[in-house]
Amino acid sequence: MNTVNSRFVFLIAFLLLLPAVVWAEDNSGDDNSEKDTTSAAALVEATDLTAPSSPAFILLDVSPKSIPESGMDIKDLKLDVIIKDDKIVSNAAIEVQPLHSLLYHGRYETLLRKQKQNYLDGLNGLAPTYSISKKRGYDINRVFQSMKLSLGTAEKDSTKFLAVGSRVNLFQEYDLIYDQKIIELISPVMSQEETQIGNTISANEVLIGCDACYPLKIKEIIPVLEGQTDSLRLQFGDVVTKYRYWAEDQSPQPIDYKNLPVYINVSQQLRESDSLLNYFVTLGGLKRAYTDVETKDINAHFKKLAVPELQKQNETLQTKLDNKLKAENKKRDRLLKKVADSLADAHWNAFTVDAAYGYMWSYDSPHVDSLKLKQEGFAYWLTSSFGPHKKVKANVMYKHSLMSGVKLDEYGASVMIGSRKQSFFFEYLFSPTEEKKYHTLAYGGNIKMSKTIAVELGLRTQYEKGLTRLTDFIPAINFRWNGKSIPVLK
Amino acid sequence: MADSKKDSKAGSAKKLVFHYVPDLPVLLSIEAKYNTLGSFALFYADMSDNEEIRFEEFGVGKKRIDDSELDMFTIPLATNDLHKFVVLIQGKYAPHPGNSELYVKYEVIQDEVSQSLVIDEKVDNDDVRYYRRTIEFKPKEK
Repeated sequence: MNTVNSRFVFLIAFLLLLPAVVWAEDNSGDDNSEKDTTSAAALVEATDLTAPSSPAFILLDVSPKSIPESGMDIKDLKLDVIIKDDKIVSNAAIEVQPLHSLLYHGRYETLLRKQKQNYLDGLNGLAPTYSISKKRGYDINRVFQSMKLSLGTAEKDSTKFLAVGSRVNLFQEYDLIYDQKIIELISPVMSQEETQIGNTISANEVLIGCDACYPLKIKEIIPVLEGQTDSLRLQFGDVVTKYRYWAEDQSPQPIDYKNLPVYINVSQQLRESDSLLNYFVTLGGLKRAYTDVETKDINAHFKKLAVPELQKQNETLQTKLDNKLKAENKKRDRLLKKVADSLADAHWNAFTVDAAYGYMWSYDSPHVDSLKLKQEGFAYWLTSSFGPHKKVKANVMYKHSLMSGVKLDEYGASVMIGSRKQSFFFEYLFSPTEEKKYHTLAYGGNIKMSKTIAVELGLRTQYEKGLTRLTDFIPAINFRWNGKSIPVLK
Repeated sequence: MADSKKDSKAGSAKKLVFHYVPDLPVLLSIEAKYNTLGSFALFYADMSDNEEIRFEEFGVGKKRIDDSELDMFTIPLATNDLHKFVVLIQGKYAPHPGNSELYVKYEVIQDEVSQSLVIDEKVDNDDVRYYRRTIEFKPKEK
């Protein structure tokens, strides 16, 4: 089904682009054609998926879209070589999210402290000091955490430009990593078998680490057992004597020092098994153990004979547990990818609000030590995305810029129809300058070929005087590569 | 916090020895940071019986660790006899998605005295691990 959809989108996009190529040929004599070719080339050169969320790249006009899409949450560091042999390289870009790890890890510290205080208040019969609710939408820490810094260079008409920018996410309705389904899925739950294995290991560890687990109680317990034997003899007559001698003298069972605690607690064994034979076998084992270690320290004896065996057993059990864990992890990862993908698809158009700010300079000498920057301008953006329908994503944008002394307020909106994997977009941008009012209309499609490769096909047209005079026409194909992965898919 | 210990190796028999005052209830708290995910089970074993050591489950058997909740248990044993018992916490934890830190802290609390044991920090992402920790009790010398 997906393949059919991809082909369909590709075909439509190709048909949209076809007239653009013809038009460009028709206008070959036009004065603007050279400029068009340069812009188109610059557009095609843009190869970064994060460009819409990177103000620096938009300022440099190396972004394929005029209206940035909000809600792109990319954590990975993107790094191109920007300085080489002390020279600033043109058409390079770097993007970082510096506060992410710092704030992400620290933002629950406060919450935890409050929880503890509330608990202690409860213990003391007081009302809770803090009211605590988990923030999912607006969270000031999240704003800083989402802050991305971008730095880019570009060369246009033999002038070199350098731009820096920053983008923050002010609001995000849906955050995949807080989705209850995801959390439930990756929460490790101990199975009964794992718990049993773990218990055995722990019990063994307690025995291994015990310095005086077996005080010489055998001496004390044997007379008690002898007394019990006498009462049993009264009850069962010669059978008891027979069993007793058989058990004590002829039992083929070697002494298992690991089972010393069992021997010691013979009465318990008797209660459980209710077997005369078992009783005497145990008594025999106990007596032999006692005789064997009578003159020695029973703990030292236990350590020498039983501890290596327990350690070996623990190693085997630990390996078994680790293997179970590995298998579980593999299974979980596979399931997680599926669920995360479907959730990301379902929430591709969740409501988000982003803000961005960028500064641009031109420079003549590419050498870092003699770099002279000339201020060119700045811009800031406010964008928002929302989903009026599950197949529709709408973006709105306001941009204010001051470039080479020209102040400009731009307003734009775009609509994407489709899904996270493939969509058509239509965008409109209104740029009223002091002299003219420009209307830019763009159409196109996004096709995500795989997790890392996407193609953007677009056609940008610019009009003046309402929508009556076509002044600019730019077809573009943009291949995008990204290192983006949804955080949980790492 | 005198006996606070830090351990990075899973599965090793790391003990927490708690010096208690008889006649006061003893609490056990389990708390997480960085949204660590996982479950744990609590057991105790009577060490005075000379039986084969067997852990009995108590309290909440399985529970998901959550930063927003502090798990707190009263140890269900007569405080005067605590020295006869070993308490075992058996956990299986993983870092929260998008995170690479795992942090769980066990704390034994009695009145204003507490001793804590941080089980681990900074593990590789997606790494689910087992942790077994035992707590032994010794009466406080007056």
